[in-house]
Amino acid sequence: MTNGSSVTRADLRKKRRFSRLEQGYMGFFLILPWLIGFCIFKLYPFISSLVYSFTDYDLFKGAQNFVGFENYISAFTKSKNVKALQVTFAYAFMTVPLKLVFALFIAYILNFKIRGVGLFRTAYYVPSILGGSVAIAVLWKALFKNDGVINTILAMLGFESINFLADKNWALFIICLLRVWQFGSAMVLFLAALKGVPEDLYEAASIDGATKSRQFLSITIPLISPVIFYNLVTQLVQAFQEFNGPYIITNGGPRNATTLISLIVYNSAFKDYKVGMSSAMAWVMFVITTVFTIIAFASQKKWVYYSDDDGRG
Amino acid sequence: MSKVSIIFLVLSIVLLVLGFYGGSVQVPETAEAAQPSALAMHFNQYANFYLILGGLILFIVLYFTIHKNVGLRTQHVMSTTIRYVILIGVGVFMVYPLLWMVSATFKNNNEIFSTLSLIPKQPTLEGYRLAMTNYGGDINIWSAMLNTYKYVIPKVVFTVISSTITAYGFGRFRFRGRNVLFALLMATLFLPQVVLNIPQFLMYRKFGWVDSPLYLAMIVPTLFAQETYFVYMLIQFMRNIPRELDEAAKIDGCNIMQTLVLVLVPMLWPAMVSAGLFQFMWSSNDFMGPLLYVNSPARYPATLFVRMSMDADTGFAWNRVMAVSLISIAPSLVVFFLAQSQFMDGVTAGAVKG
Amino acid sequence: MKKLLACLLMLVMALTAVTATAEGLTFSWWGGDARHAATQEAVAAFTAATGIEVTNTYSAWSGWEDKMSQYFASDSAFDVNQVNWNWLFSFTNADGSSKFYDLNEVADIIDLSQFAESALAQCTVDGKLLAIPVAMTGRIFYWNETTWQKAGLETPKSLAELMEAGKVFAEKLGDEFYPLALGPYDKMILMVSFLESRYGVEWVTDGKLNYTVEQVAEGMQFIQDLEDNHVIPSAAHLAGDGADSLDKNPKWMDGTYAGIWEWDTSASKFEAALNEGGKFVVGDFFADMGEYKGGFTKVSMAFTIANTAADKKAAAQLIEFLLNSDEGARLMNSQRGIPLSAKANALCKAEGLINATVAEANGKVLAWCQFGLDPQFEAAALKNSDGVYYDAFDGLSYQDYDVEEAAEVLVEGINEVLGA
Repeated sequence: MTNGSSVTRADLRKKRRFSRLEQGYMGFFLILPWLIGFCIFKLYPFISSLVYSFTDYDLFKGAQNFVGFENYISAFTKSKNVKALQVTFAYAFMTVPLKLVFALFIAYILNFKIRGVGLFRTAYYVPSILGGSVAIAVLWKALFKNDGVINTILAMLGFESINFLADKNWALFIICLLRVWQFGSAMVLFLAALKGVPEDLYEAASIDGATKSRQFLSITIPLISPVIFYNLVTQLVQAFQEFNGPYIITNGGPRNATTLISLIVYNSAFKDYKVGMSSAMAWVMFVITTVFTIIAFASQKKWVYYSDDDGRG
Repeated sequence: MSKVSIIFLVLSIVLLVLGFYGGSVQVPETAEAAQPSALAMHFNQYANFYLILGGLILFIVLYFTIHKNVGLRTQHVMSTTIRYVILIGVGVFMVYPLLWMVSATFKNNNEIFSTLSLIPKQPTLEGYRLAMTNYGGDINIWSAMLNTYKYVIPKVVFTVISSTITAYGFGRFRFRGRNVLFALLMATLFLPQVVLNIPQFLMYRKFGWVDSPLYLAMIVPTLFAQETYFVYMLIQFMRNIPRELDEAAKIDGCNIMQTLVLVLVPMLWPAMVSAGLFQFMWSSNDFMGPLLYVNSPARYPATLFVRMSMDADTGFAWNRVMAVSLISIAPSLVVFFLAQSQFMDGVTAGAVKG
Repeated sequence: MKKLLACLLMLVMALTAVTATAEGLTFSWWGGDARHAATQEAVAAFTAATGIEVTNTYSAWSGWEDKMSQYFASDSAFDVNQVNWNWLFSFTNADGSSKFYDLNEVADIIDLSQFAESALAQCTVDGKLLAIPVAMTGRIFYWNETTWQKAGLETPKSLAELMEAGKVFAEKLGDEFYPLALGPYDKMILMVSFLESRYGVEWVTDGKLNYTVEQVAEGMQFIQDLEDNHVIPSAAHLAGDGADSLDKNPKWMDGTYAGIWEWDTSASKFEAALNEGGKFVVGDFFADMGEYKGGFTKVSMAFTIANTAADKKAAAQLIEFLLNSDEGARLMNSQRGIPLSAKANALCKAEGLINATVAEANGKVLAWCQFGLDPQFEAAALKNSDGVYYDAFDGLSYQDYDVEEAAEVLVEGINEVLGA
């Protein structure tokens, strides 16, 4: 990220004022605990999961044989796993845009001089605080079950009730909705970014006769693009890791319609005891997340506008 | 505003109100013999829906006709009104489920799903009474809450301290390999936890940390600043603290740790508080960690207890489950309301200042 | 500021220092509230008699198996465990040795002569007695007679009557009402009983499936007929109820679903879940299912000692107390089914301690069911919610598979597990 390089530049400027000791190993000494932790809790598990994924590691029996790419082949051929890949993509591509658009829309409205901004902001943010908890997943199940609140509303309007929990398309949608409902954190970021856009730019555009929507597209979006980018990447990473919602609300059902890769990873390791297979699925997921993160980073030159660049105006 | 538009406005509001009050509008029944036509039945069934739809369409049409023909000032008032309507509408969508949950805890099980009203007809504390169910003296909601904070509080404290020190190292010092290590740090921000879960589980099992009474599997990693997000957030904050302060401290004879504690920490304090608050929320909500690393019911934290209370047999008491859930998230809610400004600052610190 | 930090640290220390590790035995089981209460009482009596402290852990069945496999895999299991029969075969160490202690070693404490040889043989692996069977069990129908009466029907005595009942329920009571409700695993067991009734051959023997895909397809068709005739709700219908299992399903409680196909040992749980006014009766096996008396019995559950237990003698004492002693038998009565222990059985019968419903159901099951069961029948890869049984039967109900495809999925999945 650009932040890293700017720190470095700043450091370079100050370099002379630091003593030899501080430049030598004092900083290293300060980050040593992190480095040790990184090796033990991140690097070692990271590499060992790669190794496990090439074996028939069993939760009870341990690794017995090296099986080559067998687990990976099964990850892309076994119908259950392929389905999980599809579902995970569907989930991510439904949740992330919905959530970001909604968050931006609300932030945009809040950015007008609205009385009680604080109140609204709080109300919208509360679900993000609680969203990951089991309690909320339980609540979601209560809202969407056959005789739940949503179906009561539908019945009031005269509609047939919908079997949300058992319909293959609806089930995934309500899991997505749980995430979209937690748009608060993304919204707070957008709001802060919108406040940072200088008023005079809009005024100048108004004088030039640009409409509101035109202003939004050519001024607002480019100026807040770093935050859009940040939100996009973090939400994408989160979406690919979602576990609680489908685990508690639908347990992956109906017919695996909400079995995300994270559920397969958990189930194969702790229900079927197939740690090797589970690791392979986790790695498939990791590679996919990384690819999307890289695509996002690679594309940022095209559309993300950083204030210290000179290119755009 | 013309008289016509006022009539239209009133009409659309009437339609909306009728629509939402559903049951009260009944198309009067015709004579018994007459079989209502399919169309009539259709309209009868969807009456509320059409009322609301009609009301909304009228309202939108009205809005745009008026909007073009009035002065700037009125336009402004109208747009503001619309904004408030949207904000309040979304607010209801956001908050209604939570309010519904609170009210459900006071309803009896038959009432919970039979009405949308938030006010219980026959308020009862049965849900709360049942929520106190004690599983053989091993675990109840209170000891589960206590268990939660037995690991949440150490996690918060350790995370803040270790992350601050690491951020200090990265933010204020140059050393060989710094850039490579910083890149590694940033990379872990995007590393999915799922990849690590199984080897971590097997490793902690070897260490004897699974089902440890001290919740070691969840606490120890925080001693090593392994929650990258907070390290990153603190580095961002630290960049906004002028270096001149450090140097002044040095001239006054402070050593490196004294500089951190006496000069930087007071400046960083708001960021540290918000990091702590975030860690508090996230750890209290964490489900996967306890699911893997806590086995004995006596050590169950609140998240697992909520799950367990859903499993109780002989009847599924929703009011009980809702009450247990509500109690379990209450501390997080309280902390959030007490410290929301720090939260908002914390959220924006990481991303916006760049 | 330093003070604040110091206070926080003190708080942390205080909180983390609370680590009272209990002395004595640890004991785990799953079940319903009635079983929990009875077992707790029996354990308290054991402590009173021997002075050995016991820490109990118990829960409902759902999720328990995942949890127990984690306990055992991480060698942090409880000392004495109520186990499902198939765990004896799946909970092993890396070298294939068992996670369970050979109870022959404590034969001086546990009186093995009270148990039938054949039952003990079912718990013996590689010459080691890994568990003491508590009871034998099989599946049987239970009906909510109240609903049947509302529909103007007697509880069914034959398959034909059951098939007819579906339409009557729909007409007289409404589409929401079903004579029977079956989860995927219930369907599997019912189908096996159906096939065994028709062909008179045990499902799996010597690690080999004895039925062809065509024969299994007939069984699948039977299940499909139940659904088509409005006898059982579809899988989607059940999922929409938002309940984890039938005993937690409001529609079982209020009689909308008027029947289940359940283990005779867990009957009391379903009986207790019924709302007031629901009359719970034991059903009959259907002679018109086929020429043979299909259905199987198995060891319902067993008590084991984990290899990791510190004091195996005390653990053995607890098992002996719960299963064979007068006091233990009296307190535990039929909470885990009709006791297999000859002594406990005789005592419970003499004192009339056995729950009448349980006794009736068990009597019918033992009199009817002729077949045994292969331990792999309950293998995790088959029985779990992401396993083969769920795939085949949910797939059939959701119309992802026709009967032939569902049969193929089932047979292939079973052969894979048996071959492994």
